[in-house]
Amino acid sequence: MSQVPPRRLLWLTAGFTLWAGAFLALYGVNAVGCAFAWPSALQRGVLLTLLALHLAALGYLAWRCWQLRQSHGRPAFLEYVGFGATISALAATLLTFAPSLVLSLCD
Amino acid sequence: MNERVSPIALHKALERVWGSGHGWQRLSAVNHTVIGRRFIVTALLFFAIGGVLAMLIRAQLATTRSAFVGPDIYNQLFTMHGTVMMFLFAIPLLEGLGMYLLPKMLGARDLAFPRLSAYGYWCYLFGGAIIVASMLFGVAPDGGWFMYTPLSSATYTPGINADIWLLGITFVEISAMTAAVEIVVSILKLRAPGMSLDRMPLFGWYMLITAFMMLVGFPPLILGSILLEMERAFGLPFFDPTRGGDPVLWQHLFWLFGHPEVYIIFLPAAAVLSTIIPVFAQRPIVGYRAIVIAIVALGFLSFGLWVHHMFTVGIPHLALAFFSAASMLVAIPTAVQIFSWLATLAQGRPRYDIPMLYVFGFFIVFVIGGLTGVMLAVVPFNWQVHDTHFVVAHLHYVLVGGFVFPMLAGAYYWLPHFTGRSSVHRLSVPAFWLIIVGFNLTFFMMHLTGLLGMPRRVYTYAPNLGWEGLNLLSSVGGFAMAMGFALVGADFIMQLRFGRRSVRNPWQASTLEWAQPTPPASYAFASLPHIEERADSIDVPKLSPTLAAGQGYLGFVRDERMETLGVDMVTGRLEHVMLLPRRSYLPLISGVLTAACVLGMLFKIYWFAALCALAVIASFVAWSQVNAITRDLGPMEVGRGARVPPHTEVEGSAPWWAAVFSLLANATLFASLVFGTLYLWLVAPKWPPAIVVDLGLWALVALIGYLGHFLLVRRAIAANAIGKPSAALLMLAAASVAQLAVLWILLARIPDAPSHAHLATSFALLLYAAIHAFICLTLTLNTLLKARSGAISPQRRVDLSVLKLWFDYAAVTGVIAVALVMLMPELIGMLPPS
Repeated sequence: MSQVPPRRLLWLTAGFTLWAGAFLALYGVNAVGCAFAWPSALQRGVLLTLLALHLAALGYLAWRCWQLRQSHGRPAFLEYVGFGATISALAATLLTFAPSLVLSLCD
Repeated sequence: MNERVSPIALHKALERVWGSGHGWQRLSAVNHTVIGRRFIVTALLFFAIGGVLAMLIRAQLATTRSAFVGPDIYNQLFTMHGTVMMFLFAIPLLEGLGMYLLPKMLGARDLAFPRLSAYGYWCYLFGGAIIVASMLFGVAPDGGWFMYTPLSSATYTPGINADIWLLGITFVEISAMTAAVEIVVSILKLRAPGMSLDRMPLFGWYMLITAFMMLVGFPPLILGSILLEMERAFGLPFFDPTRGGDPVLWQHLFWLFGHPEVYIIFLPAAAVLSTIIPVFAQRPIVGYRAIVIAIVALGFLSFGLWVHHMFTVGIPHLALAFFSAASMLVAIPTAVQIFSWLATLAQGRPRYDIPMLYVFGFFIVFVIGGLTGVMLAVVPFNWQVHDTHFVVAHLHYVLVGGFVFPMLAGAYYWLPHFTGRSSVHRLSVPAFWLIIVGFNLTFFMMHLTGLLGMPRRVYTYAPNLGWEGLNLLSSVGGFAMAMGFALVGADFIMQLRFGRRSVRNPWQASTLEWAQPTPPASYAFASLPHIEERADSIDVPKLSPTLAAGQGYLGFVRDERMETLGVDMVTGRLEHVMLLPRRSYLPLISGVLTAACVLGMLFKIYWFAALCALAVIASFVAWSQVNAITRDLGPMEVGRGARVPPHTEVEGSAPWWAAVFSLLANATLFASLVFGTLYLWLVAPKWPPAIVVDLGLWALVALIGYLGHFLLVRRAIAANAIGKPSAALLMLAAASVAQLAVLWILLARIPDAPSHAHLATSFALLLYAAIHAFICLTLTLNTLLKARSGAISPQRRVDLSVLKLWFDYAAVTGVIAVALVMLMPELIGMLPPS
């Protein structure tokens, strides 16, 4: 493991930290939007923009992890599990917040 | 140091330094084996108490219109059963198991902060004793183990009952926080050289994630308890809807802790399974990397489920959908682990023994609990069975299946390690069958009574509802299960008393804890190994004699010091020698003083509580002053031709990381307070308030003060680099006093805090900042004392690094707190008319 710098430990948690960020952001916006009676289109637009931003960040992170994995022969342990955790977080973000697309917002 | 001594001579020399003493000296023990064992034994005693309470509950519910106990006593019984099992049994048991096993599995001689573990144990024991003693006086908590407001508010629970829960549990949680910091730092920094993260046994990974979850999961509950106690004692209305508070805020804070708590309990149990199953399957675990990913996913996802306990409180459907989706998703990483264990068994050559009985019991019970969990994640179904016995059945299937069965497997597996004796086993098999049959009889019936509409927490029920037969069966099952647990207890005592001396490593395991004598010596390993393969595939018979002969690292005693090794947290490269403190009565003294402080608050003698709090702080300063190293030691020989400096002379050693992780927990508490403030502003009734806070220009003075802190602490570090830190530290202390005074003035500018939640949350935010200014002042004075006694030098600068962390943290949170209080009138102005 000597070729892997210590900060790569953070890659293991970066994906799900973004998932948690998306959770806070979307749950918060939903609460604020309902309390201030935002028009539905506005609230849904903000929710979907936030979701898209988080998905894009996760996609970028997954791509970077993939690149690191490919940069030398056999991926180091942290590169392998970092990529796996990031992909899992990407899927979790999509599934957790997909209801923003269709469900009624403040009922 | 290079001379070879005989294993016996080495043992005697190490025992002299590491031993915990005899008689009364045992009270000064700080050794991880002793403290771990104490946690485990005490947790089992509380389990017995919780079990008796469960029997009383089942006796009451066995028949309709039972006259066994009345509603007042029944409320205390179910509240105390839940409280004891969750806070005094499950969490301390996993802490004790981690403390006992981790250094032994990771190839270290002890945990990073032995005195902290000992202090945690005393807090747990005294806090638990206060809570349990309340039953003897008939004033035990009676508002349910999750203490919902307004039932637990002063209006509806005017007595001392709820205060005992709030103060007692917060007291016990000190041990959870100390254990979490201890475990995280020890796993990351105190492993055997060569044990990179990918060579760490899965047990280490599980406990690492669990401890992180504790760091982030417990602070919301601690904050909630503090706020509710402030409401009960001083009338600050955080949860009172008539004064701008909201009872639902309590539910959020409680379940922000409460749901991750389920996984905090499950993950160590899964750690036990991931250790035991490969041994009995006689092959390495299948899917090591997949399990690591699954644990990380569980660690995060479990924080996105808390609202599934609150599906009926009226939260918008979209938000419910987020929590519902996360609740279902969490089944996937759980399933990854279950399939890994099954695949390990399928691909191995499983052999039968008592621990495997409980492993199979786990599979059956936990999978059923998991499936009813997925059912409860579905919002409409959840609404139907909310607060019925279906939920009681589900939670017992998850917690008993996911914790008690694996822990019993672990108990039978590691008992020869604890006692050095082999199991008698005549009672083990009937005990298992009584437990598993009794358990399913008790709790499967509750699914049915729940679906038939029987609510939880009712002390009696009418006849002819179709519940009588099922309840009677439940009670019969409950008593059968209790007999099973009594047999397990008898079995343990028989082994301890009559068991034959066990051979070393009776299960032919391949983890390091078996490469040492059993029962374990105080120093764990006579010398520390160098790890060159995955540490769950060690050739134990080959390694043990070389370690006992002192052929590993640190196979000697130097200057009567307790030494273990520190490594790079990722690569496991040897980095430094960790010098550990000797046994001490200080943790006990601090624990007694903390108990006195809690009792002072409980009986509302606040001057006494404040005095005791100051005494606790003084005792902590004493911890820091004794054992301080007063000269530079430079690189030290550690054996196998290696020389490394002591931890006091390197960057990023265990004390620094402990401060980082303590501040992570602290930041979670602060974030919960900010969340609470904004939540009440946005959602609670009776807003806007009649009066708002106006801090005036003093707020700007406070903000400038934080800038001063930021600069002065850096100046102190620069002064230490040239060997003259005292003057700069004095200036820093003076700045802290000034900041404290300014924050005091700001607190005084809040008018009539009990009148509205806006004023109460502003008070809480500024109080938080003031407490941190006081902590910074104390740390500065402590560092100054150390500088005067020569315990700090340009090389030994860890105290100053820690000081900088705290000052920076206090500055960031202080600026946020003051700015938020300044901004609140603006935010209140934006609120739509109610």
